[in-house]
Amino acid sequence: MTLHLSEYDLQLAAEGAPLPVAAAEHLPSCPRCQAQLAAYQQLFAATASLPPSAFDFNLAAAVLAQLPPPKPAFPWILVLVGGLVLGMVGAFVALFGSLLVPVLQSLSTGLGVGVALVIGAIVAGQGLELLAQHRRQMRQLTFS
Amino acid sequence: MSYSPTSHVTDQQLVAQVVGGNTAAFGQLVRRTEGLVTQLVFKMIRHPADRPDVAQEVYLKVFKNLAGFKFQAKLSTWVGQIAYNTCLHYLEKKQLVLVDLAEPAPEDAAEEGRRAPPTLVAGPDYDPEAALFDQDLAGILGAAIEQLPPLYRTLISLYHQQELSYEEIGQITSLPDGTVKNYLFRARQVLKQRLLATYKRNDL
Repeated sequence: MTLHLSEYDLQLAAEGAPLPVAAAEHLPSCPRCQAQLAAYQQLFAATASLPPSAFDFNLAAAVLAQLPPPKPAFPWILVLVGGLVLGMVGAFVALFGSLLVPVLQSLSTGLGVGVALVIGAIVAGQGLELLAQHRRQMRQLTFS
Repeated sequence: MSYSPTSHVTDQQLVAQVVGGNTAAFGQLVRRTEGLVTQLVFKMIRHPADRPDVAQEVYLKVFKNLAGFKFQAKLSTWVGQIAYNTCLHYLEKKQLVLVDLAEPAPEDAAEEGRRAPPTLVAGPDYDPEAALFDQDLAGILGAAIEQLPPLYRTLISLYHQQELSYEEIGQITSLPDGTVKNYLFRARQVLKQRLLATYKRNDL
């Protein structure tokens, strides 16, 4: 009795994989198995040449539009600069505090408040400028 | 850092750029992997209206988890894994089956294929080779593939169209290589039977 190639062997042969000896010997002399092998070969070739599925919109653009906005980085530089400034002020007060007290006491109250306000405004302005500059730099680093 | 979409950066460099905060580089990552993701989504999700949402959900998950990706596999394989699992979750949510339970288990199918004589025997005057050369084949084949269960469609697409190895398919689907082979064997057998049945019906 002649046993034809099983479906499994036909698929193996269509992929070009080695066949069991009996199947390899049978195939050249059997038109039916050859026809079925040809069917699988054509099926594989036709499947490989099918046009790939594709979306009718720009997937990358759609995804980018949905990404969450980047979290602002922690302003390490600002914190460092602020710490340095506070340290210097602290050191200045510690070293020359005893000299400053009589000077400040000799100033009238109105003048003292005015001087303090001016110094406070200058420090706040410098701080805001530093923050704005830091943000500009981060934007350039990330998106340019 | 400036970024040019045409620059030839490696997957590692691309991932580092995105993780470093360059969200524009993520667009390049999408373009690099969307072929595989699109095939997976189209093969596993039958409802066309749901496919865009699923595909975008895949990439939002990729973006969220990219910092934890350590190149244990190729970038495309890892993205494919996320795509497959997202589609699987979609099917579960919709209570759809991945493989028709009426079909034999893959191990049984392969054994059956090895032992049994061919179940598909063409008639004496039927020439499958000539039939498969038909110029309408692409349309008929595409329709026949669409009729297969989602996992069969997916495996055929990954193996024959994306030309992935059994190992890569196994990584994407989390199935053992042997199971991938057996499912693929069964899928192609069913596909061939349905195609030949279609041709025979048309001949009558």
